[in-house]
Amino acid sequence: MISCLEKAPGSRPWPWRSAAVRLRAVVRDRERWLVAAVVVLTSTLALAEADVATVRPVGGALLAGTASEPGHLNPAITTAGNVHAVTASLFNGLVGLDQNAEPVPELAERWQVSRDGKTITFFLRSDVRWHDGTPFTSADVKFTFEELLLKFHARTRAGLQDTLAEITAPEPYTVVFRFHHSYAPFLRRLDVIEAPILPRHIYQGKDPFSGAVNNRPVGTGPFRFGSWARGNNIVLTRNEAYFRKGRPFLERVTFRFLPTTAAAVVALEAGEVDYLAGVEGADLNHLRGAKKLILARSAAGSGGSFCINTLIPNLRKPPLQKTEVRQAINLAIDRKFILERVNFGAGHAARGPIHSELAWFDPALPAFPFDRQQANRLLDGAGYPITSNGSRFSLRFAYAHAGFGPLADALKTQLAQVGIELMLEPGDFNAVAERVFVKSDFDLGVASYCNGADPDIGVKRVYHSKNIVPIPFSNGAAYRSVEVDALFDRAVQTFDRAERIVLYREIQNILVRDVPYFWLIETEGQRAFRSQINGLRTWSGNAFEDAYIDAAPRP
Amino acid sequence: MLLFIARRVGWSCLVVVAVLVLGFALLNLLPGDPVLYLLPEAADPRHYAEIKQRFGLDRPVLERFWVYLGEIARGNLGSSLSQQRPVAEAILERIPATLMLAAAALTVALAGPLLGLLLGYLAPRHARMERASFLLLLLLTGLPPFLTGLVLILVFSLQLGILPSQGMFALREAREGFSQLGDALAHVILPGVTLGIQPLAALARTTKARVTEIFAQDFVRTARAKGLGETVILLVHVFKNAMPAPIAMLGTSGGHWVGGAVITETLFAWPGVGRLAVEAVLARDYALLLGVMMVSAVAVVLANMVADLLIAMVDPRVRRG
Repeated sequence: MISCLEKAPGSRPWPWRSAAVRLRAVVRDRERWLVAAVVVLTSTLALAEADVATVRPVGGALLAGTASEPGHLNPAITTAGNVHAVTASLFNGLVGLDQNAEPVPELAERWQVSRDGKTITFFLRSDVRWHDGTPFTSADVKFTFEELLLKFHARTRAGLQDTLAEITAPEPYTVVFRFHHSYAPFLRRLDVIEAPILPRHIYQGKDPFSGAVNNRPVGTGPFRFGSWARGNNIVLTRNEAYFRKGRPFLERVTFRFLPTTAAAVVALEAGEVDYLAGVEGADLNHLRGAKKLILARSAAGSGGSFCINTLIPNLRKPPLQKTEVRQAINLAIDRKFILERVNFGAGHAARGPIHSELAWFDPALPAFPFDRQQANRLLDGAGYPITSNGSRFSLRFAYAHAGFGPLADALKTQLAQVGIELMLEPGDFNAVAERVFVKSDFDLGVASYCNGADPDIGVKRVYHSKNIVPIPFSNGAAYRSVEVDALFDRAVQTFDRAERIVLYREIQNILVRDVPYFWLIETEGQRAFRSQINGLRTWSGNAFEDAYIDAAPRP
Repeated sequence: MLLFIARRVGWSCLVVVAVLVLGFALLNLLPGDPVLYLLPEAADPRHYAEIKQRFGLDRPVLERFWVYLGEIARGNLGSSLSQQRPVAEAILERIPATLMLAAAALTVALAGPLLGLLLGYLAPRHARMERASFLLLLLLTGLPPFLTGLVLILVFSLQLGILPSQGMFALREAREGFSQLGDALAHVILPGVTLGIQPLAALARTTKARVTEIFAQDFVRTARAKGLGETVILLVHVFKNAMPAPIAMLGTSGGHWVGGAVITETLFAWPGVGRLAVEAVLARDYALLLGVMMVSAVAVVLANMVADLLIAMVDPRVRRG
């Protein structure tokens, strides 16, 4: 992963980073020994925190342009990206994720996994206070999980409700999670996006869908809620009592809502904002030559996910029911052309169902070949010859015009070359999601499926037959494989990382053979920002905790 | 005159009710599902059903409409699903920005009749001016706001760097009082021109045509024969007689203003009601969208009424029926 921290001129090396990487190599295969390692890691981090705070200037205000305004600021009841883009700076998770998507201490300073893997005990920091001054305790964690996350956070609820048996808070700074069976992905489900911790004293007895509590959030995060001018901006101010001493460095972060991408790019160039997350398409080429601006790539999107633009064939009916037909279509797609002309070079041609920059990816998987002759042969052999009207069959392609319009045009041309007529049926995101996932009224659909830090988040939902449900971003193709289901179920029950990687690689090979989906492009999050800004995080979690402005005057 | 006003008010109320009924029907015919906004991904089907029930979205459409009408009758516009607060609060908060944009655009547009008067008087006497003004006004009339807006942003914000392109305030530093007002005025120039330039050109064309026509009429010849000066003829006789056409045009162009405001506010990140409408559509927030539709319908109807009254004032034939 190329992060902007590595690219940004003037950015300083992280003193603790190489130590952390070495430590990770040691503990990677034996997470049960993590407890001991974490103690060493936290002391290294503590030393580094003090060191970093002395070299980075405190102060300055950052104006971040964002396309979509959140409806509310309660991250525990939604997975919506526009909410989390703001709330990730206001709240914390029990653990964070580092740039390799590995868990690191956050509200929990360490944790212990029982021998049978069914119990995980978290030891919380005792120096954390909510923004209103109330101490943070294990009661907040228990309340957030039981009353908010497990009821309303779509991913956390779907992932944990049948796995988690009980949460107890035996002491103010100890919280224990007990599972029905050993559940290895749990540690990667606890960052501020997947499981933000909210204050019990604010939410207890209140409606979690009420703006009265959600529109003036109280968190533990590096920034406090300042003000919200609807339609205009949200202002966050520095939390001077943040538990990571010395952080954050910025005095103020203002999220400005800029709904039109082209106008937002002009605003960045004209100095009306300092930072834009999610620049894409033609604007990328435009910004590549811009002075005093940095365009930074990272595999993760603004929410910290590793996304793959994926075509969804409807396997419920012919002709896409036939594996040979799907294999032929896979051969007829020119991914290189799509990457260069549709995605403007931002990303990579996908090689399978898991993003290639995650450790779970199987590097032995070859690139998908582009071979029209072979595609034609397969289609002839599958019983779909070219008819008198010049085509073999037609497919209704349902897609969101806002994100996939140019892709649809490219695919129409490419599939026409092998005699498949693609009938373009665009709509807005909501309408297409309903059509593809809820009503299954399509032949071919498209979605950006994002992988989480663990394949149990974001990968399993697409291929496990249990997820053939009328819900967006589920197994929309309706793919069923007893073998794949069993492998996914086995892979979460062992904490042995090497064993898990083998199981996930086996899954990838079966899926690439069956082609239940067409994985096109691994997209890249592209951020553009002023060159004085350093320390922006490009992976999961909040982008601004370590950010600082070089020329900012000290207060 | 009172009967005239009463008739207009009665029709206007009917129009607002019709908008409400049609709006509700259309929104429910629109593909998409509000629950998908609240649960964008990977949810459990039981979770989906619970959310649907929680917000009453599992009830039949007619029942929901009946409940909604009951709320309206009690003066309650309902609660916004996406913003988790009363619809009236969400809309009221955006009205000042929209009024400010409308005032700016109207100021620009009102230059149209004056320009039309001037061109109506001068252009027939200068062939080149006639051709140039015809072409320019035709071009400006056909310019869609999103194109005008982008061109203005590129020229005045990016190239010349003299006007801000996005939002209502600069946000770099906290401003108060007159400084804040000045900042907002600087921000409203580009969206105001974007929204106002098309009506300006249309009004100028209409007025120009009418003025040219009136100049050829007998009463103007009589006025000249009486020895009245050209300025008096132009302002007192010709302009007054030409006015009903642009007023009627302005009053009946409510659709343009509402549609134009949606596009202009989105392009310039202007925090008004138009942008709220777009957000409500994307979130399938029916209560919020119906609220915006109602407010827009009332605004359009009011504009029509004001135009009717103005025309009745300047043209006695209208108020006599």
